Amino acid sequence: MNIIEANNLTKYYGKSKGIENVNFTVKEGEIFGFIGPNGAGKSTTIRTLLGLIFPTSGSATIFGKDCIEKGHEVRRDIGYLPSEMFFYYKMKVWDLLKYSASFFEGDYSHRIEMLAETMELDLTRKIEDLSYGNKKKVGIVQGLLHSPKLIMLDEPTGGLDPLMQKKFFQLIREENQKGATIFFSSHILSEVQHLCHRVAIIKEGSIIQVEDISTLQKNNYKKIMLKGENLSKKSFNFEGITNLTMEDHTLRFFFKGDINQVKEKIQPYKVEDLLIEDPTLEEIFMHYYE
Amino acid sequence: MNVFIREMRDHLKGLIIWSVVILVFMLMVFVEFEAYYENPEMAEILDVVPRGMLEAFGMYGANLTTINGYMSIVALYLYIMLGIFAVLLGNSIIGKEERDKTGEFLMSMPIKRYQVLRSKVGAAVLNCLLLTLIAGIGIAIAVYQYSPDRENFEYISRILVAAFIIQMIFLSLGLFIAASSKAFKKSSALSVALVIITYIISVIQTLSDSVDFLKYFTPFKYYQASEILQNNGFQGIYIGLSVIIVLVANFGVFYVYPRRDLKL
Repeated sequence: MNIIEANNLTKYYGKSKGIENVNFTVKEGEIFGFIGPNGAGKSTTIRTLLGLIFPTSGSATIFGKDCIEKGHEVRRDIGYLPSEMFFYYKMKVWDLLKYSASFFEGDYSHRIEMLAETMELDLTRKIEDLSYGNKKKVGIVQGLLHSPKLIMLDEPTGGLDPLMQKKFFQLIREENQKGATIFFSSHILSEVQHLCHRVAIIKEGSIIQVEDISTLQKNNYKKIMLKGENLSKKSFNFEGITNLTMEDHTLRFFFKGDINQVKEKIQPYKVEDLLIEDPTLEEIFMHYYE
Repeated sequence: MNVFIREMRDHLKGLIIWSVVILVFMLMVFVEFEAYYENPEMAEILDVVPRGMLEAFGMYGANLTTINGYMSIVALYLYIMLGIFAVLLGNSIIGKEERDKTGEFLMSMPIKRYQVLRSKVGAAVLNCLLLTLIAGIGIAIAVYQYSPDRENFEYISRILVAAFIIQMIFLSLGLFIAASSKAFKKSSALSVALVIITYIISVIQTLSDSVDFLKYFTPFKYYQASEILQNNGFQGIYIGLSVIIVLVANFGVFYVYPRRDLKL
């Protein structure tokens, strides 16, 4: 079953484009990465899905229901962590979380305490006294307290120290293992790479690629480094080679195609060192943005 | 219900501050009354003041030496204060979610926008009602020393009812301005300006006979205290107008706000 389906989702702010004809599906139980630089339309997409803003055209369903028409029903099972946390700053953390929980049926006190303990969040403090990172923690607890079926994260790690990031990812993985679907928006590729099963790449308001992480990394490009005397750029200038650079007897390039071609080219040379690796998502990503 | 309680709590401090201001104002005003009360000489002082000026401040023809006469002057200031309270409350109770960017949190909860509005409007109406009651209690305490009779209390009650209706008008307009505007600073300035402008319109209408129709454009004229005193009640047309303004503005709020983008 598809948890999210976006059909030609388009949002214009007046005349300026937010997103245009965005199509993707998120399947049940997967961790779906949504990557793109700032201003590419990530938050616009999420806010449209949540009914905070309304699409100019196109539509989207969540759990098979229209996200605008049935927004209030759909949001019962969504946990949302916005990129910037703004809460009623005069409230205490505990009161805010109780308030948040009051929108859902059931008692979540125990769950709040548990999450707060994991994230090392002091529940007795006032929101306005909290640092950026601590506000983020409030957001995390708030977003997860009702054990949502769909967790939407918009740049979730900003302000968290590496240790907290790790705990946070652990928490997200646990929720995922328990069956929650994760929609993870980020511009930090390494975190998407480690966590997500599939990613959509968004650029200037349009999706340019939706791919399995493994496909993106393995089936496409190899990153190759060659070191040795007499190497020249010329002999490696053939179909499938990109980003060829030569520096201090070291040749670096990306290759897409039959690896045997490269093997044959290397054959005549005496090489000191050879490294063939999968490019990082970052490097693939840069490729899409060139 | 949770949103309603949240709003009541959030606005409690403001309500207390306004209550204190209005109580102090009423007590001061009625301390001043001591000089006029059953003192015909003081009433003559007003004879030397130009008529236009008296009219501008709603004092023309008022008998300052009686409780009702004095109250008919005080009423205008009560209207203005309560009106400003109501218009600001209406504006902020909706606009603050975008000003403080808390709308992203609130509206991502499993709740319809119209439900949020219902709770907010309910809380705002209750706040206005409480402030009117507190003003009433303040006036009752303040006039107590002048041994008011039944007629005085009836008149004061009418003024309070009028003040509450005026609050409902300005509250609705404040709500509507906030619901249709995405810029909080602009909308709160516009809201206060609305009270001041309608007050100025009421002054202009009083001073000039040629613009009589302006009386329909200012709630302060609908419930002019001197007329309530003369007529022993309200005029049907103004009650009708008030109801129409409140209904139309609220319809606008409930139509516009659930359909518009939140400014985040």
